[in-house]
Amino acid sequence: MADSDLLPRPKRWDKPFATPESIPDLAEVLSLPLFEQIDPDNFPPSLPIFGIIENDARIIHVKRDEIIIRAGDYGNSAFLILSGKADVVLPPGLPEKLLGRSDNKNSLISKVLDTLNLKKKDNIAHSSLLAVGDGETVRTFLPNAKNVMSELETITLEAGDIFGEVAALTRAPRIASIIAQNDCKLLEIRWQGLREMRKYSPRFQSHVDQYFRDRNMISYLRNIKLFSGLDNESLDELAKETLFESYGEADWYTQHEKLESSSIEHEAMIAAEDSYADGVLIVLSGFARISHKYNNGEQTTGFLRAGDVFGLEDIHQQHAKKSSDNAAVYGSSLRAIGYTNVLRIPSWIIEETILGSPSTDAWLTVNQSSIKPNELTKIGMLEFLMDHYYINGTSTMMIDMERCIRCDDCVTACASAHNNVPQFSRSGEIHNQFMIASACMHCTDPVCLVGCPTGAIHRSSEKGEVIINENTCIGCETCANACPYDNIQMVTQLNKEGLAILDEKTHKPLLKATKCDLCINKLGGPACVNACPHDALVRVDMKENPTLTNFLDRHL
Amino acid sequence: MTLKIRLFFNLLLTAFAIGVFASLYSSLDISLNNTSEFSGWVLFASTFFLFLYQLKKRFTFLPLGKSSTWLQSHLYGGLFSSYVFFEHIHWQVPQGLFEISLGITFFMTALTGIFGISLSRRLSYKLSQLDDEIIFETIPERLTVLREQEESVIVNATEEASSNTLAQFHVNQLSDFFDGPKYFWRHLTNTGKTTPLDALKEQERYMNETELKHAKKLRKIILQKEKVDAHHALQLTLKNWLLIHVPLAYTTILLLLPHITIVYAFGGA
Repeated sequence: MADSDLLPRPKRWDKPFATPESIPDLAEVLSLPLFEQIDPDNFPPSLPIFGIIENDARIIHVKRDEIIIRAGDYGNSAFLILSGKADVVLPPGLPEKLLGRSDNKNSLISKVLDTLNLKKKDNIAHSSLLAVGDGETVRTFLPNAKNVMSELETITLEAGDIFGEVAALTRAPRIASIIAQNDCKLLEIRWQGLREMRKYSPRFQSHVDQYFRDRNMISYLRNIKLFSGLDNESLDELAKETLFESYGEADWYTQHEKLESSSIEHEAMIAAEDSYADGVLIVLSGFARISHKYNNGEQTTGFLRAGDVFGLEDIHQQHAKKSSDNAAVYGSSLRAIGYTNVLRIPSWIIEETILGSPSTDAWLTVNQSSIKPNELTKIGMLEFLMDHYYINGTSTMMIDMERCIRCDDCVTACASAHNNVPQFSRSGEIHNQFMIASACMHCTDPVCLVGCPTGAIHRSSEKGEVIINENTCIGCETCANACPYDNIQMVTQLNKEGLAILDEKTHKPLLKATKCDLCINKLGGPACVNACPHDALVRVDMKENPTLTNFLDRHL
Repeated sequence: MTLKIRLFFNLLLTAFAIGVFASLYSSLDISLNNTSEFSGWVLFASTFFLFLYQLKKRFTFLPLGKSSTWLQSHLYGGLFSSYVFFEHIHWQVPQGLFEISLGITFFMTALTGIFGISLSRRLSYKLSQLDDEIIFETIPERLTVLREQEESVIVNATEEASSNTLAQFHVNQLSDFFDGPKYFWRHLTNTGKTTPLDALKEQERYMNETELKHAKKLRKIILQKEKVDAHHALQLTLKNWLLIHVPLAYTTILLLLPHITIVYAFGGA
């Protein structure tokens, strides 16, 4: 028998965030107001605060007019200003073009030209931003910053201020752009470090929670349909009592990258079936699995993603009985898939503020069916979708292989809509007769957006599709490497003669990231769906049960 | 809407269209009007509508609606046209070489269309029952890999077992089997029983222990090859049946034009 290779077990900090040159000075960091009251004894020996600062943080220097954070981008770190000043651009913010994004609001004429493949396209990047560096170290600057900033409303952040922590912890889009007012020294902390500091430092936790409560909570709750009938006073009260909780250890996509499927045994319990329903839970970020006890196991009956509500039905049912004998219990279990942030709103305040109102009753009527077993659970489809993390998709390409005649009209149509470069491959995992094809799913949690140095990959401002601006993509491959589903491809740029365009220094082909854009600039919607003659191909939002179940049910 | 409900609804709609046409035709007939001219123009219009689907498929980049909606219209429009066609020829064999040719091409176009759609439904179902999903264009590459694997097993078996049972089997059967896609009709129609797998089983009685061990590996490779062959046969048929239907459709359109000209030139219409 051949000898096995022996390797030390990989550890969390094998790859520190910082390079040797950017390791933070411990004394300097711990003397900052935010850290000075941190008690190192609160941290477990395996995760000392010193280790977190050395391995999960780094020092970065930004120049004047450099864009530190772009509104709408997804990032996984927060920034603490050590020296210098930065401006937060208040709404309406910087124009999309100045942020390196495409102008999605195309005119009808532009769409017609694009549909007919008559729109002029440039192959070589010509960003409206000033980009410096290469690959991951690319930095972008705001052109003509003095004039641009003078016309915008801003808030100035100074040494000691922290920003970006809520977006990093909840993987929500950054709410504002932040531009360096002068040369700044920043401490960048990746989200894993933030998570530990929040977990083991009550002061840090209260800071983050308070920040979230002050800046985000009210607007977040207001956007949830369930609370749409509440006045500002009630919302304020609700926000005051709401708890911000985190569950799970590793992000779902790191598990996916290791080719481990999601498994219920390893998921952190958020609310157990038959346990006291102490509050309504709202998923702030990540995913959660709903399951019921079934014989000796658990049957998955649904999932929740950002903005979804759990437990209201149980509290409502108990409240409707008007009995004080028994407390409400959760009718099913809720578990964190990967790392999940939730808001817990205590039952008593729910009973006082929203139960019994017509809008709540209407909400319950609409949402009740979503957690009852349906076609998805019957054929094991839900388990399949969750095990492979396809629940992330909002426009997942699903192909019914019993109807598909393998004509590849979908691929051909996609190619003719995109300069003869198809943006997907008709291959992928199959469950029963349904294939999840290798096409961008326009994820709810788009990890491909994290780390794009120019902001070329972004959500469209119209419908939220994940798209790439060809003009600002520098071909660094960050997004392609980050996509857990391998749905972003790097394509060689060709000149008019069809020859590869080469880098003048390295003589290697210039690449650009390419992926399905849902034919956002074409008339008539996705070419793949339109081209399928046998109704075999659909784009489905995994949360839209009716669309999905209708597609699965139609053979009946 | 389930597919069965859609089928029912579309059939109902087609029956209604046929009913409307039949009653108009009948009323014209009773009033001694020219029913041939009426049915002829309806047939021309519906045939031209059927032909538009072919044009639509050529311009995929134009926003002309979903191809599936077009296909459904094409299928049920085809049924309607077929009825109109039979009314037009008065349910009799047309007279004259030209008219017979036109009648045959139209009839064959309709027949190949019905045959093709039933083939599409049946074969796509059969494909979905095979374990692997194989893209047609990758079949030659897969076959090469399988052939190399098979040859490697044969060489190793011959060397290790100091016996040539498998080598002989390779020369007599497998060499040809792995040479390219095989058993087209068997995979298409599920007929014919003898397979290389059966033949391998027959040979097992002549093998020693070492050869049997390699035969096990060979069995897996043959099974994979069978699957690739099945994909080849089914996908090739699905891709190629249109090569009969579409030229027939073009021929019908080409013959229709002189037919109308002749009718108006010599028919006294």
